[in-house]
Amino acid sequence: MSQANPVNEGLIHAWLDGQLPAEDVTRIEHLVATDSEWGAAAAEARGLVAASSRVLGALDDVPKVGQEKTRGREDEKTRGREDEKTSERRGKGGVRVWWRAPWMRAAAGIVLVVGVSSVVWMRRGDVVSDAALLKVDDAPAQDAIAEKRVESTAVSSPDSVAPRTLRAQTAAPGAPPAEMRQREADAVGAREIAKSVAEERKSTSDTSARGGAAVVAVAPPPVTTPPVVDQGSAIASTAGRSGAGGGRGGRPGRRVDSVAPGSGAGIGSGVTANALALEAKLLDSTSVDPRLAGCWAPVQTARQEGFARRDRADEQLALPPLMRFIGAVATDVAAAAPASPVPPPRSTAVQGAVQTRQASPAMAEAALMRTVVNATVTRIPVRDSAFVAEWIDANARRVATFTASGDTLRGTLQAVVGDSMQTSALLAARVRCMP
Amino acid sequence: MDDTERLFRTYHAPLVRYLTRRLGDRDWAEEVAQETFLRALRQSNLTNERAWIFAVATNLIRDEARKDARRRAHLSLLAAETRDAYEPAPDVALERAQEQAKARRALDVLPERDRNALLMREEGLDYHEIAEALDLAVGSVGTTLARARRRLVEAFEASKHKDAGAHDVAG
Repeated sequence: MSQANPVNEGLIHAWLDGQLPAEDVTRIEHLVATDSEWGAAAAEARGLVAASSRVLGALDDVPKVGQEKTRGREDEKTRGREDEKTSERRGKGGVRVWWRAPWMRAAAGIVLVVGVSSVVWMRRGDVVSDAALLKVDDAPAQDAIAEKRVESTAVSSPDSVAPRTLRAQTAAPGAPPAEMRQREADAVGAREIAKSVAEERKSTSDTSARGGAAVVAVAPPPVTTPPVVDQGSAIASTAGRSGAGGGRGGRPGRRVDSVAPGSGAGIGSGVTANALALEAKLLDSTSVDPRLAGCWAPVQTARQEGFARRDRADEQLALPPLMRFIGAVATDVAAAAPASPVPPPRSTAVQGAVQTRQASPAMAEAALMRTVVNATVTRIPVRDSAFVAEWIDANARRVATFTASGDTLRGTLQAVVGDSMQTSALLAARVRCMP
Repeated sequence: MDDTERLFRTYHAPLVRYLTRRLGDRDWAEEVAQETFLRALRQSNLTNERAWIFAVATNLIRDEARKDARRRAHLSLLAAETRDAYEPAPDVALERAQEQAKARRALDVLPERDRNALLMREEGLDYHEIAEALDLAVGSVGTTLARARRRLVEAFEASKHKDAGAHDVAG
């Protein structure tokens, strides 16, 4: 039968779409019911119709919630204006509601500001306690703290040879010239950073002084200690590091914990002594897996092509930059693995990038300023993971945790951290994978 | 209800959806839709409104694609801004973004005529309207749609498998 009536896909689709005249419908129905080839083709066509609809449905990116939010705000604004008018009218009529008085509004504003500030202040404590996500034995934790102090000391000595040693050590023998140049540039950046941090720390708190004193006692030899890494993770570390001595293991002189005046947009002038002191305090007071200690990476300039392109677009349009890339980070999974007997992941390469994006003033009218943390995962070794993005900005250390599984392990993980209005500068950041 | 309002109410939503799927940019789609309605209002009589509107919109995006890159850049920034305003859960956002990217890649694989026919059909245009809008024979619309659907699904599946394969290699 099918030889006499070869399967016509177009006809079947037209039939499924209800676009055939009645007589053709009867004929096709009969063919589908009696001829196995037609039946199979019809079944396949049904599947294609459904699947194509589903695929096209994935294209719909209609920001319903956002629209509602914006609309809600606009409604509120409109309502506010109407209320004002009503209030004025009432005022003219001699009846004025007491809570609409200007002084009452001012008082309410002050209360709001104080309330928000309190919440933000309380959150800092929460964030720091979140760092306890890293489950470590006491001894390694002590080591880590000691190592951190060592690093602080190394950092606070801008004239020390540590960064140079680092450069000499981390440059692979067969590294291409471009990579060498990058490392050189990073090392120069690290020295500048170290200098500024040293200046800051010299003038502030006794935190660094305490750290420095402790360091001298426990510091292992800076160069001779071999890092305890497997080969895979070493590759990962190399791939993941953004330079500037972002070494693994927190070995003295191998990296710079604090960052500062950066070359990235939005960094530099905003970095205050207070922020650095706070950062030092946070780092010193947090138990960190020694294998994680090297993950902190200083903020780098924007290297990502997408953001560079966006910046160029901003320039072309003569618009204020809507979003600004101000940070980068390197990490590796092996370093992030907990100090438990959990078997390490098969592969250990993950590159992370933490960015903060701030809204433009124009956007701020429509939405609260927010900080967005993106972790760009380029290679993921495990099926199900939790990712922890941590960063230090001018105000506090912050943590965002997000999970991914299966197919979602590739691409950009995004954690939107609300109410970070005060975030002004990213000092350091890292993304960890928690198998 | 005057003619303007009737046209807008009847065709705005499907047209914007069609254009958004076609362009991948909601703001741009809204802009093209508005221009389409403006042109429709200038017409004294439209025999087949829906086919005419979709045909004009399709022609407009074809023209627009050739010019005004700066405006597109601006709109994409605004679109990103809008997207940022609704804060979906991170994993949900990621999955959606990935699915959307795959769907976009799959759609881009199709020839323009197949793509337009498929998107118009998704918006409920019948075969006569699609034929009129795209200057096709009515009898060939079914074949066009069958081919478009098959290619779209195959490209989408291939994209998924490619990603899975790359993932395995990475692992």
